[in-house]
Amino acid sequence: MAARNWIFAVAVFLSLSTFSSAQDLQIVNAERRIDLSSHIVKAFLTLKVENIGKDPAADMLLAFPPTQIKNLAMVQALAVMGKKKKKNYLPLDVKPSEQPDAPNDAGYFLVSFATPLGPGETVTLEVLYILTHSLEPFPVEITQSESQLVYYRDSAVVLSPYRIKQQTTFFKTPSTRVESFTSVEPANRAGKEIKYGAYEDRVPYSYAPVIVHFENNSPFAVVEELVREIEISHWGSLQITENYRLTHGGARHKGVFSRVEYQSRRSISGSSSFNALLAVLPPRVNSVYYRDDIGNISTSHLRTGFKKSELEFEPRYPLFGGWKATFIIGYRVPLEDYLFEAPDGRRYLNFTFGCPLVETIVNKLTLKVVLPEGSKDPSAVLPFAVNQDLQVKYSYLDIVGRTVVVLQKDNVVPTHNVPFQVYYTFKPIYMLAEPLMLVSAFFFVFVTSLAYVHIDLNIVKK
Amino acid sequence: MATLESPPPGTSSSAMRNAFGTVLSALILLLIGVLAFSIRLFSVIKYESVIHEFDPYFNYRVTQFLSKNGIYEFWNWFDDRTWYPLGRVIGGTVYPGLTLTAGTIWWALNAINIPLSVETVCIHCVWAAAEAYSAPSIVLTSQSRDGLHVFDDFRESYAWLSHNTDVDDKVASWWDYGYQTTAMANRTVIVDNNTWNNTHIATVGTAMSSPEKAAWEIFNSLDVKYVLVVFGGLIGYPSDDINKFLWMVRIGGGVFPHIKEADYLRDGNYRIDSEATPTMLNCLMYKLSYYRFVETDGKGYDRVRRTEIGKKNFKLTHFEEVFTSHHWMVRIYKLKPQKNRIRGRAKKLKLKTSSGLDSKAAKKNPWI
Repeated sequence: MAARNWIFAVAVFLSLSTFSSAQDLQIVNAERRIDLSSHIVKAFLTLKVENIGKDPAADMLLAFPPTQIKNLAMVQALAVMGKKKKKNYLPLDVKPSEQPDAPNDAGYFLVSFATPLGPGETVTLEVLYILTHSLEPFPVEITQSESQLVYYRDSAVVLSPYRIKQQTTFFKTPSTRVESFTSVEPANRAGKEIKYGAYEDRVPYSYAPVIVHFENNSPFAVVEELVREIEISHWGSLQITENYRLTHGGARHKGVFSRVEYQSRRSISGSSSFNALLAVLPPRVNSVYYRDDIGNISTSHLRTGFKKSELEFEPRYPLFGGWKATFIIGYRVPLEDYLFEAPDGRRYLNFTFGCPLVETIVNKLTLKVVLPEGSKDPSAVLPFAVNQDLQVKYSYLDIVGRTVVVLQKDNVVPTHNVPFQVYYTFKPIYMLAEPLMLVSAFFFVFVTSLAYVHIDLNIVKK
Repeated sequence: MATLESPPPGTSSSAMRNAFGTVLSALILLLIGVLAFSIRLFSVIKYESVIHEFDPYFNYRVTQFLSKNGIYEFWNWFDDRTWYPLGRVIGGTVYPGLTLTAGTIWWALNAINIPLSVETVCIHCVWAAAEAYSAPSIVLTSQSRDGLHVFDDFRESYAWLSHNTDVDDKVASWWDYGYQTTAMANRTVIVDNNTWNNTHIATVGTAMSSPEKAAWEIFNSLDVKYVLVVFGGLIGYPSDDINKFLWMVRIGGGVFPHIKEADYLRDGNYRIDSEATPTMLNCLMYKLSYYRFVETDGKGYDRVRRTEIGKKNFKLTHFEEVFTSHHWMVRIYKLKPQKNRIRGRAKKLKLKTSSGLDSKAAKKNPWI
């Protein structure tokens, strides 16, 4: 009922819309698969787009409701080329876009086609978008022996500025326990999958809100703040220090924490709590330490490998809903794996952005790249938007200080762990600054002692 | 004009010998210093560079304050995070030598841009104060078939307290853990290792020796939110609060005469098994240490006292368990909030009689 009112309302808006491209494209088939297994919601959207206008279309718009726009961590699009066995995927450029007269504050992303879509042509796109903080725990507080249930709110039909001729949406839950889901005919549930569809011929901006209430005991590991410092030392190593503020982002824990129940009935006690975390570190990592403000934490296990290293570690205590923990992970990697010389003579660091912890959301990530003393003209190159800043840090034997490139991003998910580069110029003569400082200090001491021994300071000659 | 005479023969070689001797003695002294330092550094390398013992935590915390706030704030510091609600005048009651040395070293290093943390500097200065390892130490280890087993329960509990309780929550425990709680958990404590106020310590001791309700009343009057006890019965750690309990009774009894040591003794011994006195089995320390302990092995066998406990199945009425560490060494309980309404028997009394005197007596007991 409410869905129909919504559709009617947006149909009114539609008559006032001034999009030029909205009328020229239509979506022949849309299939959406939303994976709700972890607290990071991944949606895979396959769109078959047809150009029904007279002019070639260079791009298309993806629309999102305002509640989802602020939780969108990433949107990626691929164009599918070839058929059946010979499919290959071409990455497309996706940018956030502001459109005038957006109905009900919908947000947009503009996908640019590889080649403009001619009139009458169709193209198939694969879109992946990732939502964070979209599973709302309900009940809000649970005891140690209860399971965690969450709400997920979305629409049974895909929100789009174009007409959709046929569409289906699938929701995949982590377990078979689903308390309820809104019914928008035809909708049914089989095991861990809820199918909404197929819906025929929906007008642009159709929206049918649904709520799925299901059990999700996956670890809701949220890093509230992560400060990662990468210090480049031209003497041969990269020292990385990571400061985490971790919290459990699910239903809050209320009442008693009974250790005896937690240890003896582990399968039902604290089912939504977690105590083990996994960090994926670079290969050839050494001098790894895991500590917090009050000292070393011994509950960790490191496995080094050729392609990657894995650090399995446990906070000092298991994390229940609302509980926090802070810790520091530090490690060293050889410089030759990550520092290179560009063709124009500048040096650049090629490192991985993001957070090494698997399946965690980082609310606020600050990445600091500390360049050696004497570096000039720093610049950073990243495949997505970040806030950039410059700072100065004083460390061992510094006189003028080291330039720090600060990159800041909110709402970071593991898909953001892609390589990025920081360029800078460095005159090799500056390498001598530190040894010369030490040598001259010792030289000064020796000369002073020599002089002291040989100078006669007596007032009266003996 | 005087000619330069050649130096008398033999002096050049003696000068060389002198110079050689000076250098040699300097070198020997330097090597002795390095060797002495390295020997003391052995345990730091083997285990971890952490401050052990209790008192050094006070020095560490004071040095932290000094490095953060400067010398004037330090001299005028009144610490309200300890001996609640009395506080302590740290500026006037501390022996500042160790703290000022550590603070000066830290400041000097930082001035020439060598970034050492205050903790690292303290471990090198506190070495003078903490000579040898002795129980209690903060990280315990034991050798087993699968290697070294680490018991880090103290730091686990302090970290839990510092992150999962409010900044102004008060924690009551026996005075041994005061310095560590303020330094690592960053919470206000009632009594600490300074032990300057015997009556305050006796108040805490009396609370630990009293039954639940009386203990709740005492702690509530001190605004306490959490009570921390150390329990070694599961893993066999001998320096726990049950072994220290005789001091709680004696100190408490010294100031509050209703605590009589004889009530806790059976044939002159403190017992916690089936031969224990009813007063012992009902006191707060017993209950907080052994709450649900019987569920670990079915019998409630205490590895330190080497006996099964006397009262095995009981409920807590005025406290609730909020955290127990991995090896049960530290157990933290929260004071249950007072009920608002008068219910049950007191209400029936109120209904039955209408005289003011009876209703006054009925109002006095909010827990029934």
